[in-house]
Amino acid sequence: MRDAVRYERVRLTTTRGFHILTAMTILVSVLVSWAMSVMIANMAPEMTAQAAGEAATVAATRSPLVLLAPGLLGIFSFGQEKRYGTLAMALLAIPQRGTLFAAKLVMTLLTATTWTTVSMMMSVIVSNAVLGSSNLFESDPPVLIGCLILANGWALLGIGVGLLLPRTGAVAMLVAGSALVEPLLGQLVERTELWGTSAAAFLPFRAGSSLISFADPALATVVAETAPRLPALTGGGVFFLYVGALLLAGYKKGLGKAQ
Amino acid sequence: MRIVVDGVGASYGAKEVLRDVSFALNPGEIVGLVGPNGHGKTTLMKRMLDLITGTGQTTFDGMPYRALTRPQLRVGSLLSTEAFHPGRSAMNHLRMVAAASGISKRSAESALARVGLSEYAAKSPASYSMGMKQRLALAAALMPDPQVLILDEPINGLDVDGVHWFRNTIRSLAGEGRTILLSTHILSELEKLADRVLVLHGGRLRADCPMEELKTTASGPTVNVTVDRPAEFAARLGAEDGLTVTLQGESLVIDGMTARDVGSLANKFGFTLFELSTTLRTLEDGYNEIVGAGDSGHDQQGIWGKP
Repeated sequence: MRDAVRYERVRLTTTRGFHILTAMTILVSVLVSWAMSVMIANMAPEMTAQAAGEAATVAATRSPLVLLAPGLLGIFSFGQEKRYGTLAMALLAIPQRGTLFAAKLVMTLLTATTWTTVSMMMSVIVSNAVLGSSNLFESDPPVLIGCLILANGWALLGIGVGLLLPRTGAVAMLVAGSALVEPLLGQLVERTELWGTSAAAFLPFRAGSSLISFADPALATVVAETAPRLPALTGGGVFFLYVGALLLAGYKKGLGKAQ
Repeated sequence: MRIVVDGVGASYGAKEVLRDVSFALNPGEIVGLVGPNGHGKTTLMKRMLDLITGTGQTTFDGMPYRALTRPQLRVGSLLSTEAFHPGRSAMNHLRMVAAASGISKRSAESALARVGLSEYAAKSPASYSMGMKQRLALAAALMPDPQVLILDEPINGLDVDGVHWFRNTIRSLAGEGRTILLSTHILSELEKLADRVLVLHGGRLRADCPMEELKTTASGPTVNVTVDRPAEFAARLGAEDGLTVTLQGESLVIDGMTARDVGSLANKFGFTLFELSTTLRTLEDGYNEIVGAGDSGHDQQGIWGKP
């Protein structure tokens, strides 16, 4: 397992693409955070310390790349190897498919955690500077933790999709699926109820987003997240059920067959 | 290390591409694997290395490949020269291979030096020529210093110096007791290198014999003779038992008699000799006899219909 993790670390960190994606994730998060903070500060110049903290939380967790970048990282963990033929080489060195799979999970999750943590910390620093809030964790710490968990969920989702589909198809599915297909599907099933909640809340990306929803309904209204959502833990559980199923299918299809 | 391939078979979907292939490889042997394109050479190698599933099994000193600890330290392989990420330098590519085998990254530097690519270590293999890519793939296979080498078309794309270097390297590795299995279409090169030849045709092992045996499988050398009255001499020779005589213009091609005997007969019957030579059989002749001359294998969809 140690060799497999070392292989995956060298594989990840020796391409230009990895470093570009790392820099982009942090930079875009900081820029989005700064822009959102400036906008919030202009809209509400007189803000309580708590409101400023909440606003900073919003700014730190709503950058599109905070979730998308771990998803792409997940896709590339197998997608790049399949695309360039290095997967057979990896399997020659580490013939136990389960070990290679586990090593990729470990490295992808470690990287996603690092990216998300650094992005949020940098964003928080910028937001605090703009909004004048001093203690972010007074506002809504579960949202920050939820964001970290959700980013890792997206990374796992990426691995599953990357095993099932060719690289370009996997990227298209993740981007279009989350930004286009699911919102449309959500509108279609919005009024259908499942266990007393809108069926739309059980769609994968929306269920996952409940991990970064604010408990304060007023703030949810401010950030235009009024669509019905499951409670954070339930939503997270539903999201990870989808992720688990996708990973299982991906493992069977992508690693079980001939290379 | 002794390798035993026992009843190995493989299919791609409904198409069976390997059937019941068995042979053994012994330490210090250089064994050539030949056969037309699409007749299972690469599949056999992948099957031996557990990259694909199928019937039968291959063992390396009694253990299947996937049960070996750090298998690349024991079995080096070259299956593709295009397996690299274009955004990764050659040095980092080898560092990655080294990491997977638990060997130091310094090995990557010495492996590149060994194949003469140190100067291009920082460049992406995407910018390499075919021969350079081949050298890089060989460096990856040789880097962990394995006891066995399984090489698919390792000579393709190498220039004259590269082929010479490869031949010497392989011979010296075999001299150290390593087992080497290599496939190639360049039969003349294999003839200079291999001790033994496996002929794979239609997914079946059609021959497994020492190189010299394959060259003399069906018939011995032929004798070419040019005399003053070839038709008359052909008729005289035709009376001899076990001879095959073919008239080609002014010359005769004689199978089943040595040049010395042909010369003696010509002298005895009063023919004037203008030319007398012996054509030795090559590996290609032996190979053609086994797989059928000119059989590229492209018309072998129903290969199992063949004997």
